[in-house]
Amino acid sequence: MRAEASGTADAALLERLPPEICTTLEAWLGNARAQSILASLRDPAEIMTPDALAAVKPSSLSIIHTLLRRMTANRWDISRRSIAVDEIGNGHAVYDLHAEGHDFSLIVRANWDGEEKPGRRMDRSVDFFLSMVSGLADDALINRELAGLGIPYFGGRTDSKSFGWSAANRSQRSFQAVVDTLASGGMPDIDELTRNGGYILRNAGFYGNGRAGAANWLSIPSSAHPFSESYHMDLFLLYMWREIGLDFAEAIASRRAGKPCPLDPQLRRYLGVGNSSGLGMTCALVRWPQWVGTWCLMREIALAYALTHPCRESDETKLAEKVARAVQFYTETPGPAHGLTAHPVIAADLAVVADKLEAWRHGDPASRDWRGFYESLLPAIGRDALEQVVSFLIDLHPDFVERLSALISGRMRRSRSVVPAMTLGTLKRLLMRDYRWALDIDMQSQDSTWHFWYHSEEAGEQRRGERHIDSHAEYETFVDVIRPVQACFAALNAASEDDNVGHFLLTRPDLAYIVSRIQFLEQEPYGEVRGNLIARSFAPIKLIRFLLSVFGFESGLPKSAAWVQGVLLQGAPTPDEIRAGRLRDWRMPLRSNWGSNWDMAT
Amino acid sequence: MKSNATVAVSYSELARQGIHALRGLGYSFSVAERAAHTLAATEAATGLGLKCLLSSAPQIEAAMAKAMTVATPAPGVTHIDAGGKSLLELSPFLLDVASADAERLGRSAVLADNLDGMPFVADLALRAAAQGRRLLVFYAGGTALPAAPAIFRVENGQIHGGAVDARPFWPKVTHGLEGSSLSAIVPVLQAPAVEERGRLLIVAGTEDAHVSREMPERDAHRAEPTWQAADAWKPAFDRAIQSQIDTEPAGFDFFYQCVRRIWAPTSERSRAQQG
Repeated sequence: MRAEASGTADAALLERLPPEICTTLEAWLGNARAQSILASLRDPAEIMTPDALAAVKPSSLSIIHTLLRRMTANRWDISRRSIAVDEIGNGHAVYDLHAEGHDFSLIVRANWDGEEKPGRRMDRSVDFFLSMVSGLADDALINRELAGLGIPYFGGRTDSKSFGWSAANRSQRSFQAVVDTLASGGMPDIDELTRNGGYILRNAGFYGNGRAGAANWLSIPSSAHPFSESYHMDLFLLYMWREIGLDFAEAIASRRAGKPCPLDPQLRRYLGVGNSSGLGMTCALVRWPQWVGTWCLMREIALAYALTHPCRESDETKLAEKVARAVQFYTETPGPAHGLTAHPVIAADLAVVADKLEAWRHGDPASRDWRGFYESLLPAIGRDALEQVVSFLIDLHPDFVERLSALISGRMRRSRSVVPAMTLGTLKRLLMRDYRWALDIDMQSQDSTWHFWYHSEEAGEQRRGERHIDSHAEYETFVDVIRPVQACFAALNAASEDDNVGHFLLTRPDLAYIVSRIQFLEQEPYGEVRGNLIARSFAPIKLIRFLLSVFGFESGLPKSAAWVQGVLLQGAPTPDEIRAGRLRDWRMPLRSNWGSNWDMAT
Repeated sequence: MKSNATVAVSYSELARQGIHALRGLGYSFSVAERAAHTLAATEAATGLGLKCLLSSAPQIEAAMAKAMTVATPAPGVTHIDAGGKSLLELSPFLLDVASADAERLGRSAVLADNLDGMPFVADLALRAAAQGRRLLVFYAGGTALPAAPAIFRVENGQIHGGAVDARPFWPKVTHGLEGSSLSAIVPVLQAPAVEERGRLLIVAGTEDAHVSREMPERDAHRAEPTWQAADAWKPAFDRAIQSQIDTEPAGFDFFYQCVRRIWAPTSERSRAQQG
């Protein structure tokens, strides 16, 4: 699929932009530059479809990158206090974190029963469990958490001393290979590890924000706290699983060999942490439109800033280097076999980008501008490659990205509520302005309402059923936005425009959710995924892939239409590097550079 | 952690799982989403949210099919016969009506009769405080965990008031409204009310009509029941956000029984698709 329209903001989009964002841009950059940026934003109709969102690629705005920048800039100090493990892998460990004047402990328990786990929330057991607590844990708290750690659905509970529990499972083939090789005095085969995903431990979920009695997310201050940014704690724990998995592998091997068996530091750095993402991620994107709206708005502003920035040779050189590396990365890294764009296709398109960039750089400097370059790509490459270029353009401006990143958490923390004094006439105008796309979808056919989303007893989270086959459609969740919008529109057509929302909802309480959503997104142009998520044709992997990119996953392997496996943090800085304040450009680590100048290249 | 006496629960857990629990009781998603916050806030503020859910579940389910009647005897004056519905369900909606009319007209009165679940009035106060509303609330009765006659005021984000000794309660309130711009509510208040079924009056706006703004501080001095000490609601709520709620196991267990009602088995066909 070729990329489409370039996007220059029309009046309707400008009207919907959050005023505080416009004011902030003006304060940062002056009125003329701010207006130029705002006028360059892409049309939500162009970029908020599932197909378009599936193509989004990680950038320096992605959460793992904002986290690692913060960790490095503030020299977070991660240390292992203790580790005790037997030859099989049963044991425990305690890690301490000193970050920005705060102390935390991570209490880890490992159990190995010989069986590889699928990693679902309703699995009866996991291979690794940890509790992250505030302050440096004493023996009493360590022992309490070690004894209490258990799957919440089966009775495991903690209290507000813990920020939450995280679980992980072995990727048994790789984990065992690393342990066996180390114990016998060798070093694991990187090619074999790469073929098996590039990790030895797979994330199995975070039970935070109050789950199982843990502390509320709201108890963390919105600033001046190492975990004040949304999802930083979740991804920090992923970072720690990477370290914990490798530490346990070394410890088990050492126990067997009776001597220290350290992994090659380069190999430690190359390995990441695995992750399986399913349908629950799709639901989260609908449930929290302020997250989607914020992530996408910041990305679009960052792109518009880059496109309106003067050309500099240094930027052009950096972009050429990034594109060249990406061609190599997509060539050598396993990618989707179905459902998403294959890596060879992206690599081929990026090779076209490299050629066009080279030709463009040799053109007349006076007539060169980034918008012109971007627009020249539109007819030539697919959406995935275009979004990869978008990410690279954003990355050329780290200072601006840093400023934008600081706006994200506050916007994500906002909550939706009814605005009761709004007249129904105003509400109807908002609905017609912002949800025309939803009103235009025919929801009468069987295929358009084929699926329903429900809370699965087996999976412990949301799943999709087939409306005409499966039971429990009466407990359908909130994922379908289109039919409530259409129902609201019909109800508003039958009501007086002078009435207010408060009185309207008293008689139509079933519409409170969609009314508050319409009101909340009045100035959130990128908040809504513009697609029918209950249609027979909808493939959830598209939205799962989008959210993984927001987190920072560079590749993902779809296992079905609703399940994506990925690896995160390959090449990421080690705790020693973070403690020393050293942040390499670790994106897109290249296997082909291993053994030569891999360290420099990544 | 679960001890014999209490279970440590977070506000977030109640608000998140509360949607499932209340859908399990039969509410629509829209209503359940708002009521989950009502439940969590009430548990945080009074410790009675889950207990009230447990004790009034049959009434909640019975009232679900009953219609409310809504009358507007004058602009800014609304009278609702709640048909036995719970304040768990209606708290945000009643506040919306009072707030919308007060914004439009400067003042408003919303009277709800035949209303159950009075402990959830704490949520109404907390919502009003969070939204910066200014209002007086008078309430009494209900069947499950009935309330003593009580008054509270919300102003500048603060909540003051509590249960009162003064009787007759409603005639006194009525007297305060006579001759005011909200006097259209007076005949309704004077009509015989079945107090034990629950009555709540919200007077909202930039002026409080002729109702004395000093009433909560002046009249609310009964020490019992303690859950109606409105001054304590916001500090208790804030403490719950910062730490946890220690709740009784019976209410907590019932809460999760309700949650599990909406968990559905995954069909083989559906499972095969998900990978």
